[in-house]
Amino acid sequence: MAEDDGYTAFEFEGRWQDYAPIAFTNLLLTIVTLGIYRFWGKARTRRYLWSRTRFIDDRLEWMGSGLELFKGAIMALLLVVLPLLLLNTLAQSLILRQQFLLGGLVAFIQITVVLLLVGVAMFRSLRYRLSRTYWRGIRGGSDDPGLRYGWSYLWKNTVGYLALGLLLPWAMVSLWNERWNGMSFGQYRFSAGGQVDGLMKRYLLCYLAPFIGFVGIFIAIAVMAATQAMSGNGNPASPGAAGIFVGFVGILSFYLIFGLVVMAYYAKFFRQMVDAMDLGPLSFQFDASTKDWLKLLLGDVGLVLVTLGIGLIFLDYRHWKFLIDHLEAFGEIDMDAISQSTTAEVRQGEGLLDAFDMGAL
Amino acid sequence: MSAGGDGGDEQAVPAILFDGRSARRHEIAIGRDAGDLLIVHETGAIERIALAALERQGSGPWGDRLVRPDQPGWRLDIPGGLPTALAAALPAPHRYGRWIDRMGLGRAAVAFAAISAALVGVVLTAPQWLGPLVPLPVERRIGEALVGDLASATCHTPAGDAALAKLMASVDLPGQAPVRAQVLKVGMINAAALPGNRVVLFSGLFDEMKDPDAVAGVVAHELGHARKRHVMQALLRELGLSVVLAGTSGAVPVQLAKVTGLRYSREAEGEADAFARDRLSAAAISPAATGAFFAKAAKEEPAGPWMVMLASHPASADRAKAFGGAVDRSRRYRPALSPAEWQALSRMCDEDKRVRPLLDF
Repeated sequence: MAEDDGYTAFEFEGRWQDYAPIAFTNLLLTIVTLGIYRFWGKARTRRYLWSRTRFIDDRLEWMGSGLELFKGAIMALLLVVLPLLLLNTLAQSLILRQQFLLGGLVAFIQITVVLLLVGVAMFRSLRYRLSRTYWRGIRGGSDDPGLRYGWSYLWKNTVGYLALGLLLPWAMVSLWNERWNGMSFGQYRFSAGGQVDGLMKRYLLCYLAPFIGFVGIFIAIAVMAATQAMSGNGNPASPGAAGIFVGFVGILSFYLIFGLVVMAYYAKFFRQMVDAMDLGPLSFQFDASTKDWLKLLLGDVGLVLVTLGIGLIFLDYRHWKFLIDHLEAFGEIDMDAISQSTTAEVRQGEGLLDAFDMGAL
Repeated sequence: MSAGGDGGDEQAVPAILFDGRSARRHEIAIGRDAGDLLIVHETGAIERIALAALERQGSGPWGDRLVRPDQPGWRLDIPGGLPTALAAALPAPHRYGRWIDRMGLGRAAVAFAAISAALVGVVLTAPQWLGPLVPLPVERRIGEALVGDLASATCHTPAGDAALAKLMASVDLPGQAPVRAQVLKVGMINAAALPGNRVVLFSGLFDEMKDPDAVAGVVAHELGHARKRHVMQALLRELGLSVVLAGTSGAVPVQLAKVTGLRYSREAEGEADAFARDRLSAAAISPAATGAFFAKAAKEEPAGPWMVMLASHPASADRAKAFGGAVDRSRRYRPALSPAEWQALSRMCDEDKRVRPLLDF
């Protein structure tokens, strides 16, 4: 669909001035209801963001409700969080009774179940969001309840970590593909064929950054010690202060560099995954560079700092805009040939994911 | 938009329809006939939909919008806006949520704030009156479930047990359900009241305290927590707060209260102190040693292992003054334990070769 002259298939038409009344009333109502309104607030936010997002010639529609999200959260609380809390208490009390083997076993079961459920939650929240997203009256969804994905999530991540973390990119790519291959929109199934090729260089950079950082700090300390020894018995207080300063700068720059390297990896990962996705006759593209992600993050931090925290309520808006601004689609599509999804309609929101306090993307 | 034609209402209005079956866009005209919406299709066919089956949604760049809750995906956009007669016949679109729309934002916010404040008030005060209503056997069972009986870490020698029993009997209220006291092999300077009428002294206490009178003061303080049912109150408060706060953060606090880390309110600490002074006086044990203990703690605040015990307690200097001031110069006090008994109690954990130290967390 995208031709040369600046036309883009995805376009975000929102204005933060229009979103501000929604964000502020959401904040007010969330505070006075001790947080319960946030489910309705989230639905309002999405209704706005979706309705200002044009794809080809029609805007998206968010049909999910706050009540759905609320019900999903309550169900997750009763069926998942409460049992896990009891399990946690059981493990602790067993360890207190010196029953280390049994306590360890319960703790192991608990971690396994949590990992499994995080996977299920990620799959189901994507499924929920697609099933409540309409475009030209057509919605997406999935018929897979997500349990199989939960197992994949568990074992692929485990393998990724056990191989000294070197297989984590493989786990991320393969899970992305598995998740999206289970989804559909209208009668079309998503096909995701992302590859690990091309990610390893950046990943190895993340992988090695801590070692390089430690070596750097070690060298800095050695140099400090040497200069101190050479300068002889000076003021005993000032070298200590200088050391703390150097250590502080070292740690800070290490975090900055490490964060930058991780971002570079993730930016490439995200581009590569989206670029390998198709939906029927459509193919997708994502063009945010590391610099774009960095600008987004610095903008977030700056906004929150300058507004003393109030800016937090605009982050959803900023992230959605970022996503849509950088998303592109190509291909010829015959509107009359797209028919309604036959997948089951999901009626409870992403409570499980919410319960684990995880973000949307 | 050349809809209009014949066979419809006298003032047909152009509109765009997606029927939720395919992605096809239908350019139609609408009108109203009594309780029905009339749709003039491109083919000229006329469809009637009862107004009661329609729901109005928020307006935007697309104009006004009608949907059918019974037919997901069905969507009617009226770019020029709903004709006034039709708009009047349909309920207004939802904005904040059903209840809030009905009340108005301002009134709803005030009402919710009042309910929330009342709820927080109840949750904060409920433990005080609810705690004493929980039967002791239930509290005992909760204690068992949370920490077990700690038998393997409890120090025993015949003479030490006898000294501990004597100490307890001399400062406890007469004629009440027994409180079980244990000395645990833990290197911390601490003592705690546990759920179910239990008091534990950590063996580290005897390395620091050289006077049985001071230990009597500490035991009497923890007894005060047990007798005044503070333990159940603290448990309930911890539980209540975590439930209420669950709404705000999304993630339920993963860790239930660590039992020995339970926080009592300042009032409860003051009450336990008053109880201790009362019982010391009744047992003719001088509060001077306890006062000296707190005076020493006051000097070492805020650093040092004292913090473990004193974090939520009133300032040590104030407590030292209160206990010191309770000394009656005209009175003849007796030592809490004889030198032999004190020797047996304070060395119990060194002499018991069977006991295993409790794991430090």
